[in-house]
Amino acid sequence: MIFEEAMVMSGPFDEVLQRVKDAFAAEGFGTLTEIDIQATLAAKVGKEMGRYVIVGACNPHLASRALDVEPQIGVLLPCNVVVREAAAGVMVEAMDPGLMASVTGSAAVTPIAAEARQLVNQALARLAAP
Amino acid sequence: MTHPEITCHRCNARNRVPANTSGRPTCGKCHEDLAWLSDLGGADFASVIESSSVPVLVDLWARWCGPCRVVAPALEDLAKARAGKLRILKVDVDEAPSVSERLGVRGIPTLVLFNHGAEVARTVGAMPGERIRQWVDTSLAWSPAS
Repeated sequence: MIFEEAMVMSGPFDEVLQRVKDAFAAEGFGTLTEIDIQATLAAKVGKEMGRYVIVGACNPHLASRALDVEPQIGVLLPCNVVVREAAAGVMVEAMDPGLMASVTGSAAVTPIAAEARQLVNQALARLAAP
Repeated sequence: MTHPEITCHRCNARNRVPANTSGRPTCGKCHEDLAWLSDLGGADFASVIESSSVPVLVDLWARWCGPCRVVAPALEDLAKARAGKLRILKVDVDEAPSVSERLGVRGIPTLVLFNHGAEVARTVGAMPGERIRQWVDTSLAWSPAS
């Protein structure tokens, strides 16, 4: 199953992370959570790894509509966007919101998921712009 | 099965090339190597990969995927730059889910490079055309000018 879309970015990690948050903000997604996986796992289990941040992006209008038709949809919210160091550069990976429709099998969720998918793609396209 | 049409990037003549052609297609008008970029269509993925006499770069993509659209023009340029040496095969994961399952693809765009029927490299995520070209050349041990 395809569950993510990805971009390989160049440039300093923190700069890319900020660009990601700005791009999603421009499409109506606020940064609800920001989890520093590298720091968390270093503190909890002494793991050494590259930079790895999970941005929880939320479009409140879409989230509200989705919760109205499918209260359990919260287990799939917010839209997670991973920014991590990789050999090729800084990877930006976004969950495909279309999963919300396929996982729930809810016809009512389908148009909302499609709208979210379009906005996520527009945010990712912003990252590709020079 | 309909044969994909490839427009010669040198003389603009249109050429019909069967998906399972194993050789290097050339333009019927000017006889130059064609920039071989085509969709899988209804062809059998395994036989296309295994019968190819040139390396095959498989682009797993979807119409709804924004990063995939970023990669598309870069692959068109690459097909022209490596005409006669490389085939680029576009696989729509929604139309051919069995291919993405077979290759264990979880994210798109994913580029998988095959040579002599075997996978030699893969990369996930959209990146600039020049980096894709470098990745292909390095993976196939081609010199940049080749």
